[in-house]
Amino acid sequence: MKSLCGIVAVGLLALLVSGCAIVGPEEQRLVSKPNMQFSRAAVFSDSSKLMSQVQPGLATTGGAQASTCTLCR
Amino acid sequence: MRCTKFPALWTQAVILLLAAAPASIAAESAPPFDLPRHGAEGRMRLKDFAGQIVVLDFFAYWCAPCERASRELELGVQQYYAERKGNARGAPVCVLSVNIEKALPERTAAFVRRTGASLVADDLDGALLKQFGAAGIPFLVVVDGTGWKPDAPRFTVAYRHSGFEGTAKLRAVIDGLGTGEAPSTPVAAPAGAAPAVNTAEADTEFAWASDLLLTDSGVRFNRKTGRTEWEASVRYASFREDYRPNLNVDGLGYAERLSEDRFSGIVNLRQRVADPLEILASASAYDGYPDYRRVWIANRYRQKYADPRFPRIQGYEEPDPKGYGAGAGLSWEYVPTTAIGELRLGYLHEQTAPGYVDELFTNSVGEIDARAARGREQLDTWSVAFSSENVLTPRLRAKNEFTFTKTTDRELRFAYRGSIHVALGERWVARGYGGVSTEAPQFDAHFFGLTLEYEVSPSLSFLVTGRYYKDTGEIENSLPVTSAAPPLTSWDAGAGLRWTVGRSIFRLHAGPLWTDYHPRPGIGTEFIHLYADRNWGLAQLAWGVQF
Repeated sequence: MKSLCGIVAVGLLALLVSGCAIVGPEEQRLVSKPNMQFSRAAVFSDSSKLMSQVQPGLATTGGAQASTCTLCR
Repeated sequence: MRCTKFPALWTQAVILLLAAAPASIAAESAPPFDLPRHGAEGRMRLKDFAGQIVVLDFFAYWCAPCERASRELELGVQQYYAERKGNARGAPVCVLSVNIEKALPERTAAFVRRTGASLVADDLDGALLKQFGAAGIPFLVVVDGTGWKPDAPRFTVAYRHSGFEGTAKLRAVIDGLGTGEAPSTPVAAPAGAAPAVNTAEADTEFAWASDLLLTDSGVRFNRKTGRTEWEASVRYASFREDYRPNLNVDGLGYAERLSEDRFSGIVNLRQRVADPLEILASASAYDGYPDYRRVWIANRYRQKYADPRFPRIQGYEEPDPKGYGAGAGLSWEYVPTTAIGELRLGYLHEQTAPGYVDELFTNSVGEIDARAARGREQLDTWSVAFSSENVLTPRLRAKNEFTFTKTTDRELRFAYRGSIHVALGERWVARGYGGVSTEAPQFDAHFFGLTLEYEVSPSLSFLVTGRYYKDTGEIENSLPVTSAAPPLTSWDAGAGLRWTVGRSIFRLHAGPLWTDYHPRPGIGTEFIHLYADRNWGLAQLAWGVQF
């Protein structure tokens, strides 16, 4: 539980720090490149759909299939 | 990173919302400008547009939505009103495209050629853009100069907006301006609607080891029209496995070649309901095994309880895994194009391939008999996810994702993933990420990875990837013979390229993956071959086109 609280705290801190930045449109040339975006398109994504079968902790969506319980009872 | 004097995200966002709300409707004076023409001699001044309506279209070559907006404006506003000799009241209408990017002028020139923009000026320090208070591009301003008189210059802002809402919206604004007589009959509804952007994509992925071959392939279609975006995708996955029992504990088991498939589909909808807000909805379904491990484990129970050499054991049923789900959410673009927060709720109902245990019972003739007792088959999963994406500096974009998941009879699971994209220079980009996942009573996982990408030319990039993963092993289920995976350490690496040909983009990536399991002494030995250390190969091929 302690580690969970620590992770949440660090994440929220990162979120708040992120939220206070404003970069003007005239300065967005580099961050607007397609390979700098968080795209769902497979041609720009670094993720693998098969990898989460091998590494179950990668999955952040889905139900039991993305869970840490192979057979639940 | 620069911070405003209000560091709190929510305070800042509320201020931005309040500031943005009246901007589109207030009839304020337009700031005067005097800009050099782009690619030509001379200057463009606001007073040159006295007696006219001018649409300012702020753009940069690297802004993909700008290209579509500029093209639509040239056809749907500039040429439209030129052919009609003015708006509904006879006032001349002109589009002035304003370039804000000074780097790589040859790419700006190519942008202008592609869009056909006829009148272009430079605002290379973004001074005019800032005066209008723009937070993102494309940024459009309609300035009404029809009330201008030599002794009383008057230019008012009739409309301004970050993002392109389509020519129909602009024409409605433009046709309401001017001092002439309003037409007795309404002008025919403009034919131009919000531009549609379609994306089609296909991808396939292979993972193989000495005894396993896994594939996952799919097609996706996405369409954005005005305030609506919808997407549909279907996928096919296959599992080919050389099953091997651990004969030390499963003496009746036998080697077998397994072959299973899975089909799945998902539909997503995004609808903009107000300027910074979108609602999200999704529906999904699948039919088949979710992963290769469940195929292997289900076969173990099939051999034990439905062995063709022996009578079938009472209580066993062939598994038929499948599921369906739905989701809803809200997306809030609290700083246009650079800061987006999303909240998503999800539900998934699954019929799983259950586990079995031997159960003794007294049969109808009073004898003690054995049967297979099935584990839980129906699972419901609820999830809440929040993500925030932000541009932190002119070179750095970050994303934070938090997910809470609750599945039937299990503890709450928490997952966090942080990603950061850094432009190291004109040609180098580094994309790093890391995350954790935890669930009581004993599952913890963490991972981190890095991709380095080098742009050889505007149409060709090379990339290398690496990732490290470690977990404490899956949660032990309550079956006497556990099928939970033991602790795992894993690494993968790869190299690839992205290649653009016309409107199509191809991506190819391949590399090795190593898995190193750490078996728990005396636990899970029945599946020792499933959880054997393996050297994997992984290959991905993707193609996408936008039209």
